[in-house]
Amino acid sequence: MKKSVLVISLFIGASGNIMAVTPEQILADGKDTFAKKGVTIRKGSVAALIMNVQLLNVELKAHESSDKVEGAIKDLREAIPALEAIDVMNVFQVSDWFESEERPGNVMVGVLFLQQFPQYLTQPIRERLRHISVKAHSRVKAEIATLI
Amino acid sequence: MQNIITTVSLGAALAALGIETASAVTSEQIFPPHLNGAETKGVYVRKGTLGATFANILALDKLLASDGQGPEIMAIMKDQRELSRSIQALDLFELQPIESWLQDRSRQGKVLVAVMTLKDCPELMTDRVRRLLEEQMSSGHPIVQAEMQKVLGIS
Repeated sequence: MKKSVLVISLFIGASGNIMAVTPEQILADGKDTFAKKGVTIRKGSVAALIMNVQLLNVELKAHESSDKVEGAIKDLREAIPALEAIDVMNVFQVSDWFESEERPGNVMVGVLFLQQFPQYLTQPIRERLRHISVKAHSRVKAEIATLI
Repeated sequence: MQNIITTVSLGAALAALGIETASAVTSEQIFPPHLNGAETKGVYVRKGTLGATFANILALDKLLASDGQGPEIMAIMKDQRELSRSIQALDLFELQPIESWLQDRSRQGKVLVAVMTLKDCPELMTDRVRRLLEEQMSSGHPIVQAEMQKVLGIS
């Protein structure tokens, strides 16, 4: 409860002004997690997202599938609620993840997000996913099929 | 000592991206428990950097879309500028290319953070990025325009 109050107070100051946010305000020294929107978010969550997307962008072009691909997908799937809570999905719009078929890792994140937050699945996105699915890696194709 | 340990862990996680034995990367590998930051690509990165950046982008989006107060905007820009090298070291622009950030013109906070990062990380500048800046330099919020002009060496 205390952590939730802290995080909410970061964005709006006492005078009602919108405040700057520093890393120290997000995570004080010695703290490994903070809570937002009822979700516990661990430090390093977004950095891990970036690395796993990069890994999938390489691996899903080069190989059929592998343990590391499955590991990255599993980690991303588990991280989706935290990433949504920390506003990753507000900074990048849902459609941004499907911008390029040459970035299957990005596509995978968008699909995993929509599986857990289907209210953001619009008709244009559904059509875009059908198009992507035609030439996508079998692993991406399987996740798209689960979604739509 | 703590930071040295973290640096090794983060280095291993980064190396994992380029070698055959690579594995998925977890937040625990990047920041083991109780450590406050790590060095990557020669830059000390504090935990919370990307979370703070996202909060600042959304705050700037809101302020620049309305008649936000100059001092509020300047305060956010000052804090965010200090994170420029860190977000580049963390490969934030690998998640979405900086060109796409600049083209998201309805989000002036997102554009502004991209432009400020360009100022501190000139290695991100390409011919295409320069063209986008030149095209957009005379539109958008005056504060964003001014930052674009600084990056282009016009002011």
